[in-house]
Amino acid sequence: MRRRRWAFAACGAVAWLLPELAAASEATVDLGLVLPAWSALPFVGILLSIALFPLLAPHFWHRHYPQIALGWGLLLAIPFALAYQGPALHSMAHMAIVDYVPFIILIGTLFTIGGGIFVRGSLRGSPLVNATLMVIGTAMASIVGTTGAAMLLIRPLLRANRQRRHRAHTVIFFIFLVANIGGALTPLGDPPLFLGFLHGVPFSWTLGLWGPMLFVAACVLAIFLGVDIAAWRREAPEVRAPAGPAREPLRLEGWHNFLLLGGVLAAVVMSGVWHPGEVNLLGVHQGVQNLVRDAVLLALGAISWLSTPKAVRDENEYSWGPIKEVAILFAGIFATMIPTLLMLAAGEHGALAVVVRAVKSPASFFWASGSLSSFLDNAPTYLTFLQTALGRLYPGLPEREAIARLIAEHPLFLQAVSTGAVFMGANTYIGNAPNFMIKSIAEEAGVRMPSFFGYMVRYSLPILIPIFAATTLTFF
Amino acid sequence: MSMWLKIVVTGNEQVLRGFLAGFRAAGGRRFIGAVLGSDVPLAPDPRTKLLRRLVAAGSLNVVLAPESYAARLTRALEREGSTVGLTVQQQAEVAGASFTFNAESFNPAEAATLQRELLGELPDGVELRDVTVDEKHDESCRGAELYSPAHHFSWRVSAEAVGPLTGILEMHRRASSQENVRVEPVRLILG
Repeated sequence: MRRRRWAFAACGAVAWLLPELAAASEATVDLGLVLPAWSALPFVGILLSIALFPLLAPHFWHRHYPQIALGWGLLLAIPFALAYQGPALHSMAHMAIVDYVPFIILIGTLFTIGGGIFVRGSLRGSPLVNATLMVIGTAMASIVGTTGAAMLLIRPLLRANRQRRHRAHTVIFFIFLVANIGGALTPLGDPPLFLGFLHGVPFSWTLGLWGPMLFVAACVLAIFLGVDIAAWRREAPEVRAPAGPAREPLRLEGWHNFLLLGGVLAAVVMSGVWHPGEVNLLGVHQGVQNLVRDAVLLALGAISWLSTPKAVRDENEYSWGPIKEVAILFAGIFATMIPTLLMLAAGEHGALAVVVRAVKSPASFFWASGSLSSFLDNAPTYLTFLQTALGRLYPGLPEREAIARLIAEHPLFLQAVSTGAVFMGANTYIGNAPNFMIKSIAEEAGVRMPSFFGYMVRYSLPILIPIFAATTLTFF
Repeated sequence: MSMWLKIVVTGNEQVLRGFLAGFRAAGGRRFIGAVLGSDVPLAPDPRTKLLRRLVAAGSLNVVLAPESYAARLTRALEREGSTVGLTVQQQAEVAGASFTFNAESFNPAEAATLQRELLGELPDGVELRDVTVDEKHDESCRGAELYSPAHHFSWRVSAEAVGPLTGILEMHRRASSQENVRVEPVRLILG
């Protein structure tokens, strides 16, 4: 009964808003020029909530994150809609239709399909086997997404190293490579890159990031091998013995999901090259190809769900929990992000001109997007600095046109933002969503993972930061 | 409870190690058991002044020996040690030892193992003090989560193990061999 009342209220609100939205689509008001800087506060608030609550009050956050996200969302949406009416409603509808819904559909589809593949069996956790798993995971991350690749391979890695006394570092390097760096090559790899794709960055453009990606991945992998060989030598002789403890042969279950992943790849690529026209949804122009893509993705997700034995998903401890989290939290993130993006797009004429002026060179974009991505979610951070670059170089130009010119005239800026956001999510546990998930799975498997600061002091600061400094000198 | 002696010796550690090996070789099985302090995780003696510890760093050694032959070892060191630069500085009876530990596990099977190893059958004479055990279950947290990863099971324990030196060293070795146990160094209780 209560749900029905909510549905009626929602329908009523949409009916009331429709004329406003239609009128606003024609509106010429540039919100980026008039919004005050403090309208970015709810965005900062929700990002800090996502970063800090899991560390400071994990059980409270686990129970109440929907209310907290809703609170931040409404704190922005209500005054924003009341103050700017049509243009504000149009911005929110645009964000929902062009960004939020396709984003959730892609993440949900990749998660559903990736969660239908299970690698059974156990390997010997030698440095060579561990490094091979890292390479496979890094390569897969750009196809199945960092979360999907992490879900697929973290348990085989933990099983392989079950007998080892020194194994926490394997999980940490797995976070570096599979959950972050590996996702840099396609829009499927990491959410920020998919958002870039939705905003007009061509699918194949991200493949051009192979240089920095290979450089960083090779450096991290080489250090991993050194660390793991040293740790392996400290293991007990019975663990290192070639025969070792009894092992179950490797077997891939739910392999047909790889075919469905191919379908996801094809659907996303198709939406980037096929342009049959546009439809008007709530005053927002949306390409037909994007609607077709989303429909195909939903169908592929449904096929995976129906065709994968439940036992396979049980082995992966699959649940809808992560999708629910992403759907709820990103509703709040996308809603609160609107004023910030508009102000940044206005460049030096907007209230966030100080941010636009502060970052100038590709290297500063790399470190700025990377530093924020280390502590805040990297998807909104990517969009923030993409808009900063556009606001700086092409203020006032329509977004798609500005992005096309950015790629043609200043590609290093976009490369810096993309790699900064993707790579530096590895700097902390809270830099990228899969990091915390991997930590949690490893701890439940008995691995003694370092604390938040231990992770930074012992691993990311001494290993990643010098590599990123070298990346800056080499590429930006 | 067998009594042990703590013998503080200045000199080169490797020379002392060789001296002890020779002493054991000469005395046979009766003299097995003496331990060099650097081989066990001993907490620094709070009664030894920090300055002296710094000045003598690298040359201040502790030997722990069973009372049954500690006097003979001391005599041998006093008689022959000076020729190789070893000097007995002091000796004291060790009435027992202790150390504190804490453990954390998010895996029920591992928690059961830790419970057995740390709280179950203890070495002879060892007892636990100030034991706190905290076990929590939250079924709503089961499964993988991206943004709100709270554990569905957690088990934490902290305690102080007290007892004879041999039992405490055995207990310390047992606790240290577990990945998720944090152990403090062994404190000697001098008689």
